[in-house]
Amino acid sequence: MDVHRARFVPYPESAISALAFSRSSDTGYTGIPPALRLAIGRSNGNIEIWNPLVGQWAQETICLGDGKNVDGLAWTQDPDEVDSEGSVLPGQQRLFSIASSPAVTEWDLATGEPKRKSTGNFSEVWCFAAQPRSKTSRNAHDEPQWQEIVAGCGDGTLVLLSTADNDLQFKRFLARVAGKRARCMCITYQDRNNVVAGFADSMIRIYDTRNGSLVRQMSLGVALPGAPKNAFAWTVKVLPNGDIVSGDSNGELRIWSGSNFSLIQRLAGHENDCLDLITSADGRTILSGSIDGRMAIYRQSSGNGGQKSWAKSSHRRVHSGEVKAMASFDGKGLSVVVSGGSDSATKLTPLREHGKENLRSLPSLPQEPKVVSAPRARLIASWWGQDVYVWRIARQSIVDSASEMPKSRKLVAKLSLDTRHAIRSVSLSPDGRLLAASTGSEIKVFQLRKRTELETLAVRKIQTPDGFGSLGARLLSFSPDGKWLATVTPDNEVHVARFSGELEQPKRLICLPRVIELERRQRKVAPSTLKEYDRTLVRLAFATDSSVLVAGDVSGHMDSWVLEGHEDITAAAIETTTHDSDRGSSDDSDSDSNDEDTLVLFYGQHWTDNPAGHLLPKLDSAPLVLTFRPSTISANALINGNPGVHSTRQNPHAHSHELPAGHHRLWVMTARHQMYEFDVLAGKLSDWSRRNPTAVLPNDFRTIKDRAVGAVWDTAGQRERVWLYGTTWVFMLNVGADLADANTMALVTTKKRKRASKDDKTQSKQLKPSSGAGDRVIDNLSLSGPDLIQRTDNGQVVEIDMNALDKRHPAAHDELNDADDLAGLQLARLRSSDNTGEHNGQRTWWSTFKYRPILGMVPLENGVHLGGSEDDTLEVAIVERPM
Amino acid sequence: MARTKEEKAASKKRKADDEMVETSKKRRTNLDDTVESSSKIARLEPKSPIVQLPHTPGGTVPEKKEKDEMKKKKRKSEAVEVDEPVVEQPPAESESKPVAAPGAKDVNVAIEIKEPWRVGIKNFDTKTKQQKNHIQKKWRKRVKRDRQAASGSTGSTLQKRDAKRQIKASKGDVAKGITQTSRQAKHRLNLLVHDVRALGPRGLSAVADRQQSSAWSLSSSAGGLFINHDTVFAKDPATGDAVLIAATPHEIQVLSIETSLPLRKFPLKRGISIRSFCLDPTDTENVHIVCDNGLSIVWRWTEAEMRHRALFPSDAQFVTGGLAVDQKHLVVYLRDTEGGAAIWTDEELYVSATRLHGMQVLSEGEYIVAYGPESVVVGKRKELDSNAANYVWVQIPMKTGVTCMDARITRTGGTSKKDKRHAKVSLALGGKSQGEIYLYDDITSVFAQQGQASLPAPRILHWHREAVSAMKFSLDGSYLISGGKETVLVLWQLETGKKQFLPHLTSEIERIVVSPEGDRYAVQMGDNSIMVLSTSELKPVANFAGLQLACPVSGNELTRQDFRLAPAVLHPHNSDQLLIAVPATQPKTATEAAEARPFLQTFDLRAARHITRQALTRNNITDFTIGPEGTAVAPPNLVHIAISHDGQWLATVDEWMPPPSDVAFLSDSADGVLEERLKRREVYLKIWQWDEAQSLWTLSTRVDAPHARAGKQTQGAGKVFVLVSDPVSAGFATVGEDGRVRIWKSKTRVRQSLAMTGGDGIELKEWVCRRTIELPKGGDERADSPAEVVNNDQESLKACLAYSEDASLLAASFTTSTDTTTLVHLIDASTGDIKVTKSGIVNGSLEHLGFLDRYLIAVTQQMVYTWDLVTDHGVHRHLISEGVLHLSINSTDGTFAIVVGSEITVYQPAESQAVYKGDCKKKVAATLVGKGSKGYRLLLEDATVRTLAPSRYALRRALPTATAVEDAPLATLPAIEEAEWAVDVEMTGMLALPPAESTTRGRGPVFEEAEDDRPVVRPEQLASIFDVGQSFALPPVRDMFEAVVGLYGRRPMVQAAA
Repeated sequence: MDVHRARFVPYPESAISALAFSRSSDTGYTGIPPALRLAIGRSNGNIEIWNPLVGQWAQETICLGDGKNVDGLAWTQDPDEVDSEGSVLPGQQRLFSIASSPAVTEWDLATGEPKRKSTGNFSEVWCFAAQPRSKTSRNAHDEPQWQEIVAGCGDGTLVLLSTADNDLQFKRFLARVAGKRARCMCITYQDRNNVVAGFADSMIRIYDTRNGSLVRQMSLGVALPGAPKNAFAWTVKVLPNGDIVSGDSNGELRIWSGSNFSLIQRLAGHENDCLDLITSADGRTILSGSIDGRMAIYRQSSGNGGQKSWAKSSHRRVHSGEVKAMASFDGKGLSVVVSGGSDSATKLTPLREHGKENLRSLPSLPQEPKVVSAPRARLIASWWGQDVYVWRIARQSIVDSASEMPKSRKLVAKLSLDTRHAIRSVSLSPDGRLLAASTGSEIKVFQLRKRTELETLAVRKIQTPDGFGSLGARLLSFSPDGKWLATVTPDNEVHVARFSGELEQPKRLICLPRVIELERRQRKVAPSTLKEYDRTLVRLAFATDSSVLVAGDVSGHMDSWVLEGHEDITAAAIETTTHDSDRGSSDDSDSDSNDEDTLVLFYGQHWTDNPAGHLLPKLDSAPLVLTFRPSTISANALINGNPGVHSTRQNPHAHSHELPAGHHRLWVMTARHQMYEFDVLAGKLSDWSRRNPTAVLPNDFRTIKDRAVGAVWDTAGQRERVWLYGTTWVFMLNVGADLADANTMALVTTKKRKRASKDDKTQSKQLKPSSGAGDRVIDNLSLSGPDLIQRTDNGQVVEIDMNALDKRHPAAHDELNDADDLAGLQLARLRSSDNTGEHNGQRTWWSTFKYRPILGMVPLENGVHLGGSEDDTLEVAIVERPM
Repeated sequence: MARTKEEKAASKKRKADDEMVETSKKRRTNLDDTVESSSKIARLEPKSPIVQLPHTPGGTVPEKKEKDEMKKKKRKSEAVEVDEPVVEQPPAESESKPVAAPGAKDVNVAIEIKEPWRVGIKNFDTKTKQQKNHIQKKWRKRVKRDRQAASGSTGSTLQKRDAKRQIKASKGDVAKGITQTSRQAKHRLNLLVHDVRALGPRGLSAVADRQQSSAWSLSSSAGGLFINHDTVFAKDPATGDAVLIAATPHEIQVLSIETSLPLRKFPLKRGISIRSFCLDPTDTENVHIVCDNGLSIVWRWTEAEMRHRALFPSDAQFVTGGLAVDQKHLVVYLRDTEGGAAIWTDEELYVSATRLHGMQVLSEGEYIVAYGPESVVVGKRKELDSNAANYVWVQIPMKTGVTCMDARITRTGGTSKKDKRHAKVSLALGGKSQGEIYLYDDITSVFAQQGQASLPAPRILHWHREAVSAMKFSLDGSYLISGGKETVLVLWQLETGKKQFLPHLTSEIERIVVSPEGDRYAVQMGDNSIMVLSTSELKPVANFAGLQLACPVSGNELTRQDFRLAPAVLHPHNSDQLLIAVPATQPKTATEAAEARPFLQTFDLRAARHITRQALTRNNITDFTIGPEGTAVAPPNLVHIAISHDGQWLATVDEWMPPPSDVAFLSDSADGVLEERLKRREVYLKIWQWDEAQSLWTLSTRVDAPHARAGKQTQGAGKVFVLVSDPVSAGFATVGEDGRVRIWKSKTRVRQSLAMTGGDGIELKEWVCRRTIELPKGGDERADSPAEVVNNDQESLKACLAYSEDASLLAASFTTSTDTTTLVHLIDASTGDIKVTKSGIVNGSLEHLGFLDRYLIAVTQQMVYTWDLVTDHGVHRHLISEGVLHLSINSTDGTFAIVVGSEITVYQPAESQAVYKGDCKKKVAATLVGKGSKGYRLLLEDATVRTLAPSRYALRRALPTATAVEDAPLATLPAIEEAEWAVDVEMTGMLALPPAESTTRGRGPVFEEAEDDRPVVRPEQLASIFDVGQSFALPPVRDMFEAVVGLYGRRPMVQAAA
């Protein structure tokens, strides 16, 4: 494989400025707890939604902001509703943000766009907090308790906003603190009624939201010498028992009584400002982060004289920059602190297992590659903000042979879109003639042409049909033959546009004036607290012959469509027909739909639902890699279009219903790193996938924590390899053959739960699931003390395993999905690691971690010899970002 | 009258001593020669003093002599057969004893290398009584003056005190009288027998050596490093004063916090060292001591006289008190077992499979906590209210390593006995690698029922960069005090997490102890000192500092031999004051950074007291000393120290090279890296002036790169091989690797042709290089091969330099390994001309050179050569063993000492036999000679000091410990050791005898005569030698010279007249 290590793409990373979990613990919820998501707000205004997936941490979507720093994030959940059948419908979870403006923004997670803003007669909002959710009342007659939002402003105003009735409205002013230094730095609810707010005048004030009265104010006193005169509270939090914890600009942590608001304890935690802190669900642990990147942990213990007291347990430098924001989730299975700051990396610190587990860093590069390529034209394109950059990568052979060193890469086009919003997606057709870019409200398509004398590209905007250009798209994809452009709108509708050459000037490409919408399958889904968000399409894939289109959504459902008929150049470019009565058997339940009545044919072809689409199962989680295995049999195009299809009186727009021939095998890697391959048109797992379930993946792959970003196929010669990559790794799987031999297969498939033998004890220890951050710390680096102690009593020596205590918390293992398979997997992996990837004389897998954070890996083609000869090696560009 | 038993014994002793007296006579006569010749030199250079008179009340022994004489007279009257060689006499008294004269001439003939010119010389010790009296008066005056000049106020008071003590001792001895001498004789006999048995085939000659050496004696060692053990706070029940009990390997010391002075000492016999000690839990006046050979001793420290009893547990390594079993208190011992350790008291309590280093007993044995490098062992007494020693033990492995530990017990509810089950044991552990302190709030949870046992995660207190060496809880438990390599005492306020610091201590912290009242901290530091701080103000209350000599790091024997030689000098005015280059902290690793010696310590050897410490180079003891590569930043290393004759000027040479890691990128070979380092070497010659007002050395002149590099290298500074001080005027001379000798002199600093003056009107001086003498290269074959020079420039170069006693001559040699002949150049110090170049003095490369009156002493690795400069003949050669060599020359007593490793041999230049041979057991780091005092001061590598002196000198030097040696361990020690002890006892007894006032009656030492014995040589006498006719008819030069010598060397006219 030839690799161009492309480090010239100046993709910017931005700092983390806010973090919020959709809920902080499992307590207080009855039944199935609402979905857990982590929102990460960055300084460029983007909000990333992550799914923790019990420690597997996959980035699901990104809400693109307007470039303003996200100062705060808060989740609320609407009150549960009881439907007519008496079952409880959980309330919707809603995400709010503030961004240095006098407004609180609510985000529509399904579209990834701001939903509404609430602004008023107050200055910029510095901090805000959501009211704790009230206990779900079984009594249907009770007034539903909507959560309120309190916002603290730069002028000392505290504002109450109401989220009632799925709206966001100004309710009233809670207080106005006068004075020059009255800026409200931080705010939180002590309980449903009392609000604790820290101000820049070194005061912490407690207000009663019911009557707006000032309950109490506490002073932090003066600052340390050298600092501004007043210390101020950067953060206040409330412990479960009502006690208030504040972190101030002196780096101190103060704990105030929740009942009489007196100072209980002062702890010197940091040498610099303490910017944020979190508390554990049981209220016995506090973590604070400071401006110098250190995070300190405090634990409660019985001090002198029996009363409980807090003491700093340890600290550790977690970030290279400041720790700007922290959030924690402390529940079953997952007990983790997430922190972020100016070094733009999200760090996961174990909370309950602090000191026993490693820290972990989440990739700061997007999960969806921000790089596309036109392999045949050797172009790669990347985008951020309003700009798209297109480079041409020189051929390796030319670079090698030329006497004077030509530049190995050249920026051949830079497109700055005249839009208000940031670009969400870009696609290049494989021949490099078309480039499509979309924002949340626009889609623009350009034709790229080589200039004769210059190296740069000539860019011509292509007119798109009315309505299509203003749809906006979150995903764009050109089909491999460059004729179709599939788009996913922010509202998760799928549209397809057809491009062809102009009649007079075949070189001049146009978009046919009709764009069709492909209907998604209606599904009965379990009630979700995220409502429409679960339907968000995140991946889009065309089959290599461009005749099948698949889209996958957050919840793991896949929709698929096929292109029926054969291309008939002689046919009209666009034909419209009414509902096709002779589809007969393939007719679905959606016949009453109006849109479905008219059918648009492009050159004799038309898109329709995959007849076997309903057979495709729901994936366990959102797909990360959705790609068709390149089919070796090329569908031979019929020169004569669709033979045997003639217009009749009854059927003036006769069209073929012939399904595309050949295999259309969809290769899927999900967010849980489960591997599937489907035969899409048959609606079933492929034979290969049956033989190679996820369990046969080598252990080296299982231990990779960063999720897969994309895949590149290497099908030259007889090879059938897929190169998977994540931000830190590249992994090759030889999918042409089976990944494991028959014996292992047998082991895996029988899934017998054997008791782990003595030898496997250590193995099982390693495999013990973590609480959401890194793996368990190697023994001698552990800060938590020994695993085994020796007790001698009357000459009797007993060894006591300190970790046996963990058995008291068996819940830790519950949520692990594949816990059942553990024993079987273990054996299988032992085997697979034994043969180090060699199987039947062929390498079945290979991996490397040597690359810097990978933004994307895209294929390039040599273009000289088109045939896939044996010695044709795969050529890719790996776009890296500096650490 | 029948002879008493005593007399029998005495006669026995006399017989044994016969041979020895013979040799002592021989030596005596040689000494006469020495004196004579030196007086000749003196005549040539009249302004220089011939010999420095010892500023001591030298008459102690003569008084004894007198007594002996009287005794003898009595005996003579009784028993005639006991004849003249009765009295064992130090050689110095020869003139005052005409009785001993007869044998002298015969001995003279027996000199190894016969020298014809010498035959004519007569022994001239026949002076009239009147003359003697006259001279004695003068002598006494001189002595007085010298004493006043040399010893400071403290010195003189100390001397007075010592004198008093001497008087007391001598009184006692007089009372004991004859019994004492008889015992000595017995010891001597024992010793001889023992020696003969031990020496076997070597037989009598060895015995003779031994006997010969008995006139010189090695004092017992004083000083030493404090052992790495917690000191103990105690109260003197008699005075109520707070004292501190600390230990060096050889002795336990009771130190008074009020006065910062040692109160009492308990020395152990030689060869064993103290491992651990503690106070008895019930009777705090007893100290339990555990030695490295397993011996256990209880010492009653409160009593002035020593009472102790030996216990015999075997192999105890650590002891701590406080266990109560059955209403009686016990001490707990820790003992090494094979691969592990055992805790035991009356019976064995616990055997651990891992090593344990220390132990702590909490609340009368309710808990016992012990720690080793990898684990902590906690024992909990089983039945809470019973006193039986029945324990449950838990061993907790500590993977992070443990360097130190402190445990503390608190009771959560009240202090009554009932609440014991709520006891909370807090444990602080120092981690091994990165300076973390692990604080376990409560470790009692590990004793919970099976399956319930847990150990909560510790608090991590992390401020120290490197492993913490010591930490303790404060008395109330609200603070943790820790210290380590950072020279900062950190006080952790446990409740709030705040830290307080006591920064910029002068050395690394090694131990911290909190006093039982909690009002004081004792901080033991890496510079061999213990500081007592008050808790409230963190101000020092007392300070006990020892000699800070850099002790070698184990495992560093071969690589850095130069570090074995400590640059040190004695102050010319006060030969008890030692100036020595010391490191900031005792090195623990064999790295350049750890072993560099940037400081100058001034130390009073006599009182064993630290005086001052001063930095002479840049250093980073209180700074961050880790470079970006993680290597420690090395300060410059002081390699040479010299002090001017008047004590006003101090010259030092320091060297520095960048660490290899800094230049490693410039070259790929080890040699290349070394060359790059040499290119960046910094060498400074600094000359310091004594500032009396501030009691500091102030820098007067700094010479950058006093010598160039060898060969054609221009970058970097050359090594300075030797730095010597002009013995008569302010001046220094150096020789460097460029083969040049430079003579440095001061001159008045001039600005605009006016002499600059300081604030008090004193002219400012600056130092310049007055002369540069290029030494000719040794071998011809090397002159035209510069490449070889470059190759050889490191190891092979050697240079020696020495001033003659009158500073008229400078002997220098510069050799390389390729030289076939070793040249010694004699340079006129005033003009800088090379007067003579000699090639035949030695074979092999020279290590040291020195002048001792008319002899030049040259030392190579195999041989010591004594060369008579007057006759230009070799006199003697002595074979010596291989090893690190020192040569030191004492012109006062006319001897020189060669130290090889731990063996010391004293020679007189004219004698073929060594005057003294001895072994100090420990390697010698420096051999020092005080101006005007006899004998040698030996600094041993374990920071102890011993004095080698002709017998009467030994006592005075060794006084601080002499008292201890006298009474203590004699009676109790096992018999095998008795012989060795006996030497000391005998010596001290003998030395303690004569009272100070004896000087009034006693005859002065030999040198007073040398002073006045300038024969008047009239011109016609000279003429009679030279005016013999034509030049061709002159007699041989040798004859003429001898005639001249005969003139100048004869007895003074006055005497002759008398």
